[in-house]
Amino acid sequence: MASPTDINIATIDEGEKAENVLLAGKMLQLLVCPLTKQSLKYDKERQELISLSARLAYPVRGGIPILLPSEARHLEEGDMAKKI
Amino acid sequence: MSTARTSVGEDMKQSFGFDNVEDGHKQQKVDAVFHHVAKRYDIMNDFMSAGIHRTWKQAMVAQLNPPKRGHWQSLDVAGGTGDIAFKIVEASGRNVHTTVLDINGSMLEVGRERANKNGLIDNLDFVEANAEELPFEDNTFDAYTIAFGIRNVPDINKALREARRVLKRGGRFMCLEFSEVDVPLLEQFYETWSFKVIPPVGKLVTGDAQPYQYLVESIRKFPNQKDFAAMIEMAGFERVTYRNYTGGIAALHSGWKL
Repeated sequence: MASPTDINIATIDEGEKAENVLLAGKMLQLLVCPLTKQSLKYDKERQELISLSARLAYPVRGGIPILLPSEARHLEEGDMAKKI
Repeated sequence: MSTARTSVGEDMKQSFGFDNVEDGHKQQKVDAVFHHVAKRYDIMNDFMSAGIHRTWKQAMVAQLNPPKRGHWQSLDVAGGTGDIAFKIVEASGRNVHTTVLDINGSMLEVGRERANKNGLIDNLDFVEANAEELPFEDNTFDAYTIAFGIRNVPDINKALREARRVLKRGGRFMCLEFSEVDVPLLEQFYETWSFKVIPPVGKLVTGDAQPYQYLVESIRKFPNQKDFAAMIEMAGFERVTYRNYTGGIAALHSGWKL
Protein backbone atom coordinates (compact mmCIF):
# COMPACT_ATOMS: atom_id res chain seq x y z
CA MET A 1 0.00 0.00 0.00
CA ALA A 2 1.24 3.46 -0.80
CA SER A 3 2.20 5.69 2.08
CA PRO A 4 0.29 8.97 2.49
CA THR A 5 3.30 10.85 1.12
CA ASP A 6 3.24 8.85 -2.13
CA ILE A 7 -0.42 9.56 -2.65
CA ASN A 8 0.21 13.22 -2.13
CA ILE A 9 2.93 13.36 -4.73
CA ALA A 10 0.81 11.47 -7.24
CA THR A 11 -2.11 13.84 -6.70
CA ILE A 12 -0.01 16.92 -7.27
CA ASP A 13 1.47 15.44 -10.44
CA GLU A 14 -1.89 14.48 -11.91
CA GLY A 15 -3.35 17.77 -10.81
CA GLU A 16 -0.73 19.74 -12.64
CA LYS A 17 -1.11 17.67 -15.80
CA ALA A 18 -4.87 18.09 -15.76
CA GLU A 19 -4.41 21.80 -15.26
CA ASN A 20 -2.02 22.01 -18.20
CA VAL A 21 -4.38 20.11 -20.49
CA LEU A 22 -7.23 22.39 -19.50
CA LEU A 23 -5.06 25.39 -20.12
CA ALA A 24 -3.97 24.17 -23.52
CA GLY A 25 -7.53 23.99 -24.80
CA LYS A 26 -8.42 27.48 -23.64
CA MET A 27 -5.15 29.23 -24.38
CA LEU A 28 -4.26 27.64 -27.69
CA GLN A 29 -6.79 29.74 -29.58
CA LEU A 30 -5.19 32.83 -28.13
CA LEU A 31 -1.48 32.06 -28.23
CA VAL A 32 0.89 32.24 -31.18
CA CYS A 33 4.66 31.94 -31.49
CA PRO A 34 6.15 35.25 -30.27
CA LEU A 35 8.75 35.19 -33.06
CA THR A 36 6.77 34.17 -36.13
CA LYS A 37 3.23 34.93 -34.88
CA GLN A 38 2.22 31.55 -36.36
CA SER A 39 0.00 29.05 -34.56
CA LEU A 40 1.24 26.58 -31.95
CA LYS A 41 0.54 22.90 -31.38
CA TYR A 42 0.28 21.40 -27.93
CA ASP A 43 2.33 18.30 -27.18
CA LYS A 44 0.54 16.72 -24.22
CA GLU A 45 3.27 14.15 -23.55
CA ARG A 46 6.07 16.62 -23.22
CA GLN A 47 3.93 19.54 -22.04
CA GLU A 48 5.28 21.79 -24.72
CA LEU A 49 3.85 24.28 -27.18
CA ILE A 50 5.40 23.60 -30.55
CA SER A 51 6.14 26.30 -33.10
CA LEU A 52 6.96 24.51 -36.34
CA SER A 53 7.64 27.82 -38.08
CA ALA A 54 10.34 28.81 -35.55
CA ARG A 55 11.40 25.19 -34.86
CA LEU A 56 11.00 25.80 -31.15
CA ALA A 57 9.23 23.97 -28.32
CA TYR A 58 8.05 26.29 -25.55
CA PRO A 59 7.62 24.71 -22.10
CA VAL A 60 4.45 24.77 -20.00
CA ARG A 61 5.26 24.72 -16.30
CA GLY A 62 2.68 24.57 -13.54
CA GLY A 63 -0.03 25.56 -16.00
CA ILE A 64 1.84 28.64 -17.19
CA PRO A 65 3.05 28.63 -20.81
CA ILE A 66 6.50 30.17 -21.16
CA LEU A 67 6.61 31.88 -24.55
CA LEU A 68 10.22 33.02 -24.30
CA PRO A 69 12.59 31.88 -27.07
CA SER A 70 15.39 31.83 -24.47
CA GLU A 71 13.49 29.14 -22.53
CA ALA A 72 12.50 27.08 -25.58
CA ARG A 73 13.98 23.82 -26.83
CA HIS A 74 15.23 23.71 -30.41
CA LEU A 75 13.39 21.09 -32.42
CA GLU A 76 15.45 18.30 -33.98
CA GLU A 77 14.77 16.88 -37.45
CA GLY A 78 13.13 13.86 -35.77
CA ASP A 79 10.75 16.10 -33.81
CA MET A 80 9.78 17.92 -36.97
CA ALA A 81 8.97 14.70 -38.85
CA LYS A 82 6.81 13.46 -35.97
CA LYS A 83 4.86 16.67 -35.73
CA ILE A 84 4.16 16.99 -39.46
CA MET B 1 26.29 57.30 -15.97
CA SER B 2 23.43 59.68 -16.69
CA THR B 3 20.67 61.02 -14.49
CA ALA B 4 18.80 62.86 -17.28
CA ARG B 5 15.31 61.79 -18.28
CA THR B 6 14.93 59.78 -21.46
CA SER B 7 13.36 61.88 -24.24
CA VAL B 8 11.40 61.24 -27.44
CA GLY B 9 13.35 59.24 -30.00
CA GLU B 10 15.39 57.53 -27.30
CA ASP B 11 14.71 54.26 -25.59
CA MET B 12 15.89 52.80 -22.29
CA LYS B 13 17.71 49.82 -23.82
CA GLN B 14 20.98 50.60 -22.13
CA SER B 15 19.75 52.38 -19.05
CA PHE B 16 19.70 50.40 -15.84
CA GLY B 17 18.82 53.06 -13.30
CA PHE B 18 21.47 55.75 -13.68
CA ASP B 19 24.03 53.23 -14.94
CA ASN B 20 24.51 52.31 -18.55
CA VAL B 21 24.67 48.66 -19.48
CA GLU B 22 25.56 47.05 -22.80
CA ASP B 23 22.78 46.54 -25.32
CA GLY B 24 21.01 43.27 -24.55
CA HIS B 25 22.04 43.20 -20.87
CA LYS B 26 19.24 45.24 -19.32
CA GLN B 27 16.65 42.46 -19.29
CA GLN B 28 18.67 40.03 -17.20
CA LYS B 29 19.49 42.74 -14.67
CA VAL B 30 15.82 43.75 -14.37
CA ASP B 31 14.86 40.05 -14.07
CA ALA B 32 17.23 39.68 -11.13
CA VAL B 33 15.66 42.65 -9.32
CA PHE B 34 12.13 41.28 -9.66
CA HIS B 35 12.99 37.66 -8.86
CA HIS B 36 14.47 39.06 -5.71
CA VAL B 37 11.46 41.13 -4.68
CA ALA B 38 8.54 39.07 -6.12
CA LYS B 39 7.06 37.94 -2.80
CA ARG B 40 7.38 41.37 -1.22
CA TYR B 41 6.47 43.36 -4.31
CA ASP B 42 3.15 44.78 -3.09
CA ILE B 43 4.52 45.56 0.37
CA MET B 44 7.40 47.32 -1.32
CA ASN B 45 5.00 49.39 -3.42
CA ASP B 46 3.03 50.29 -0.31
CA PHE B 47 6.19 51.47 1.36
CA MET B 48 7.61 53.37 -1.61
CA SER B 49 4.37 55.18 -2.42
CA ALA B 50 3.04 55.36 1.14
CA GLY B 51 0.09 53.21 0.03
CA ILE B 52 -1.01 55.65 -2.67
CA HIS B 53 -0.30 53.20 -5.53
CA ARG B 54 -3.54 51.42 -4.61
CA THR B 55 -5.55 54.60 -5.23
CA TRP B 56 -3.80 55.21 -8.57
CA LYS B 57 -4.48 51.65 -9.73
CA GLN B 58 -8.11 51.90 -8.67
CA ALA B 59 -8.43 55.16 -10.63
CA MET B 60 -6.89 53.53 -13.71
CA VAL B 61 -9.40 50.68 -13.66
CA ALA B 62 -12.28 53.12 -13.07
CA GLN B 63 -11.16 55.04 -16.20
CA LEU B 64 -11.00 51.82 -18.21
CA ASN B 65 -14.47 50.91 -17.01
CA PRO B 66 -14.59 47.25 -18.17
CA PRO B 67 -18.12 46.22 -19.29
CA LYS B 68 -20.45 44.20 -17.06
CA ARG B 69 -21.98 42.43 -20.07
CA GLY B 70 -20.75 40.99 -23.34
CA HIS B 71 -17.52 39.45 -24.52
CA TRP B 72 -14.49 41.58 -23.70
CA GLN B 73 -10.91 40.61 -23.07
CA SER B 74 -7.88 42.54 -21.99
CA LEU B 75 -4.17 41.97 -21.68
CA ASP B 76 -2.31 43.16 -18.60
CA VAL B 77 1.39 43.37 -19.35
CA ALA B 78 4.05 43.22 -16.63
CA GLY B 79 1.16 42.41 -14.33
CA GLY B 80 2.71 39.39 -12.61
CA THR B 81 1.23 39.66 -9.16
CA GLY B 82 -2.24 40.21 -10.64
CA ASP B 83 -2.98 43.55 -9.01
CA ILE B 84 -4.52 45.30 -12.03
CA ALA B 85 -6.07 42.17 -13.54
CA PHE B 86 -7.98 41.34 -10.34
CA LYS B 87 -9.32 44.89 -10.18
CA ILE B 88 -10.42 44.76 -13.84
CA VAL B 89 -12.25 41.45 -13.38
CA GLU B 90 -13.92 42.67 -10.17
CA ALA B 91 -14.91 46.01 -11.72
CA SER B 92 -16.74 44.13 -14.50
CA GLY B 93 -18.70 42.06 -11.99
CA ARG B 94 -16.54 39.07 -12.98
CA ASN B 95 -17.69 39.35 -16.61
CA VAL B 96 -14.50 40.03 -18.56
CA HIS B 97 -11.46 37.92 -19.23
CA THR B 98 -7.93 39.17 -18.59
CA THR B 99 -4.63 37.63 -19.62
CA VAL B 100 -1.80 38.44 -17.24
CA LEU B 101 1.57 38.54 -18.96
CA ASP B 102 4.93 38.94 -17.30
CA ILE B 103 8.49 38.09 -18.31
CA ASN B 104 9.15 37.01 -14.77
CA GLY B 105 7.97 33.57 -13.61
CA SER B 106 8.38 34.43 -9.91
CA MET B 107 5.95 37.32 -10.18
CA LEU B 108 3.42 35.18 -12.12
CA GLU B 109 3.50 32.44 -9.49
CA VAL B 110 2.58 34.97 -6.84
CA GLY B 111 -0.30 36.21 -9.02
CA ARG B 112 -1.67 32.78 -9.83
CA GLU B 113 -1.55 31.66 -6.23
CA ARG B 114 -3.57 34.75 -5.28
CA ALA B 115 -6.06 34.18 -8.11
CA ASN B 116 -6.66 30.65 -6.81
CA LYS B 117 -7.28 32.01 -3.33
CA ASN B 118 -9.58 34.87 -4.31
CA GLY B 119 -11.62 32.74 -6.74
CA LEU B 120 -10.91 34.84 -9.84
CA ILE B 121 -8.90 32.17 -11.65
CA ASP B 122 -11.71 31.39 -14.17
CA ASN B 123 -11.51 34.93 -15.51
CA LEU B 124 -7.73 34.93 -15.83
CA ASP B 125 -4.88 33.41 -17.81
CA PHE B 126 -1.22 33.65 -16.96
CA VAL B 127 1.49 33.74 -19.62
CA GLU B 128 5.22 34.19 -19.29
CA ALA B 129 6.40 36.27 -22.24
CA ASN B 130 8.18 39.43 -23.35
CA ALA B 131 6.35 42.75 -23.86
CA GLU B 132 8.53 43.32 -26.94
CA GLU B 133 7.45 40.01 -28.53
CA LEU B 134 3.84 39.32 -27.60
CA PRO B 135 2.60 35.76 -28.30
CA PHE B 136 -0.81 36.86 -29.63
CA GLU B 137 -2.35 37.39 -33.04
CA ASP B 138 -3.10 40.87 -34.36
CA ASN B 139 -6.41 42.46 -33.27
CA THR B 140 -7.02 40.21 -30.27
CA PHE B 141 -7.74 42.42 -27.24
CA ASP B 142 -10.22 45.15 -26.32
CA ALA B 143 -7.74 46.75 -23.93
CA TYR B 144 -4.06 46.65 -23.09
CA THR B 145 -2.98 47.77 -19.62
CA ILE B 146 0.46 48.15 -18.12
CA ALA B 147 1.06 49.56 -14.63
CA PHE B 148 4.53 50.42 -13.39
CA GLY B 149 6.02 48.08 -15.96
CA ILE B 150 6.96 49.93 -19.09
CA ARG B 151 10.03 51.66 -17.69
CA ASN B 152 11.54 48.23 -17.08
CA VAL B 153 11.14 47.21 -20.73
CA PRO B 154 14.42 47.70 -22.63
CA ASP B 155 12.87 48.72 -25.99
CA ILE B 156 9.83 50.83 -25.06
CA ASN B 157 8.99 51.81 -28.65
CA LYS B 158 8.92 48.19 -29.71
CA ALA B 159 6.65 47.31 -26.78
CA LEU B 160 4.28 50.15 -27.78
CA ARG B 161 4.10 48.89 -31.38
CA GLU B 162 3.36 45.38 -30.11
CA ALA B 163 0.64 46.80 -27.85
CA ARG B 164 -1.03 48.42 -30.86
CA ARG B 165 -0.69 45.29 -32.98
CA VAL B 166 -2.55 43.02 -30.53
CA LEU B 167 -5.34 45.53 -29.87
CA LYS B 168 -8.56 45.41 -31.88
CA ARG B 169 -9.65 48.51 -33.79
CA GLY B 170 -11.36 50.63 -31.16
CA GLY B 171 -9.18 49.06 -28.49
CA ARG B 172 -7.66 51.13 -25.73
CA PHE B 173 -4.09 51.36 -24.45
CA MET B 174 -3.59 52.46 -20.84
CA CYS B 175 -0.33 52.92 -19.05
CA LEU B 176 0.21 53.89 -15.42
CA GLU B 177 3.76 54.88 -14.63
CA PHE B 178 5.79 57.10 -12.35
CA SER B 179 6.32 60.45 -14.00
CA GLU B 180 7.61 63.98 -13.48
CA VAL B 181 6.40 65.91 -10.43
CA ASP B 182 5.19 69.40 -11.37
CA VAL B 183 4.62 70.87 -7.89
CA PRO B 184 7.81 72.55 -6.53
CA LEU B 185 7.54 71.71 -2.81
CA LEU B 186 6.34 68.21 -3.51
CA GLU B 187 9.21 67.77 -5.92
CA GLN B 188 11.78 68.52 -3.20
CA PHE B 189 10.13 66.20 -0.74
CA TYR B 190 9.79 63.47 -3.35
CA GLU B 191 13.45 63.78 -4.33
CA THR B 192 14.55 63.36 -0.71
CA TRP B 193 12.11 60.51 -0.12
CA SER B 194 13.25 58.70 -3.30
CA PHE B 195 16.98 58.97 -2.95
CA LYS B 196 17.65 59.49 0.76
CA VAL B 197 14.90 57.43 2.40
CA ILE B 198 13.81 54.55 0.17
CA PRO B 199 17.15 52.78 -0.49
CA PRO B 200 18.45 52.85 3.13
CA VAL B 201 15.08 51.88 4.64
CA GLY B 202 14.70 49.19 1.95
CA LYS B 203 18.04 47.85 3.07
CA LEU B 204 16.97 47.84 6.71
CA VAL B 205 13.77 45.96 5.91
CA THR B 206 15.02 43.48 3.30
CA GLY B 207 18.78 43.53 3.82
CA ASP B 208 19.42 44.82 0.32
CA ALA B 209 19.40 48.40 -0.97
CA GLN B 210 20.22 47.58 -4.59
CA PRO B 211 16.71 46.71 -5.90
CA TYR B 212 15.35 49.91 -4.34
CA GLN B 213 18.19 51.98 -5.73
CA TYR B 214 17.37 50.60 -9.20
CA LEU B 215 13.67 51.37 -8.82
CA VAL B 216 14.11 55.01 -7.77
CA GLU B 217 16.73 55.63 -10.46
CA SER B 218 14.64 54.02 -13.20
CA ILE B 219 11.71 56.24 -12.17
CA ARG B 220 13.86 59.33 -12.62
CA LYS B 221 15.09 58.15 -16.04
CA PHE B 222 11.63 57.53 -17.50
CA PRO B 223 10.40 60.10 -20.07
CA ASN B 224 8.16 62.86 -18.70
CA GLN B 225 4.42 63.08 -19.44
CA LYS B 226 4.68 64.94 -22.77
CA ASP B 227 7.57 62.92 -24.13
CA PHE B 228 5.93 59.63 -23.27
CA ALA B 229 2.66 60.81 -24.87
CA ALA B 230 4.66 61.61 -28.03
CA MET B 231 6.17 58.11 -28.00
CA ILE B 232 2.69 56.58 -27.76
CA GLU B 233 1.61 58.67 -30.77
CA MET B 234 4.70 57.61 -32.69
CA ALA B 235 3.62 54.00 -32.19
CA GLY B 236 0.41 54.81 -34.09
CA PHE B 237 -2.07 55.44 -31.28
CA GLU B 238 -4.66 58.20 -31.60
CA ARG B 239 -6.42 60.55 -29.17
CA VAL B 240 -3.49 60.22 -26.77
CA THR B 241 -4.09 61.92 -23.43
CA TYR B 242 -2.67 61.80 -19.93
CA ARG B 243 -3.67 62.81 -16.43
CA ASN B 244 -1.44 63.32 -13.42
CA TYR B 245 -1.94 61.64 -10.08
CA THR B 246 -0.59 63.15 -6.85
CA GLY B 247 1.12 66.12 -8.51
CA GLY B 248 2.66 64.02 -11.28
CA ILE B 249 4.33 61.41 -9.08
CA ALA B 250 2.40 59.04 -11.34
CA ALA B 251 0.65 59.63 -14.66
CA LEU B 252 -1.99 57.68 -16.53
CA HIS B 253 -1.55 57.73 -20.33
CA SER B 254 -4.32 56.61 -22.64
CA GLY B 255 -4.46 56.05 -26.39
CA TRP B 256 -6.74 54.36 -28.90
CA LYS B 257 -6.20 52.11 -31.91
CA LEU B 258 -8.64 53.63 -34.39
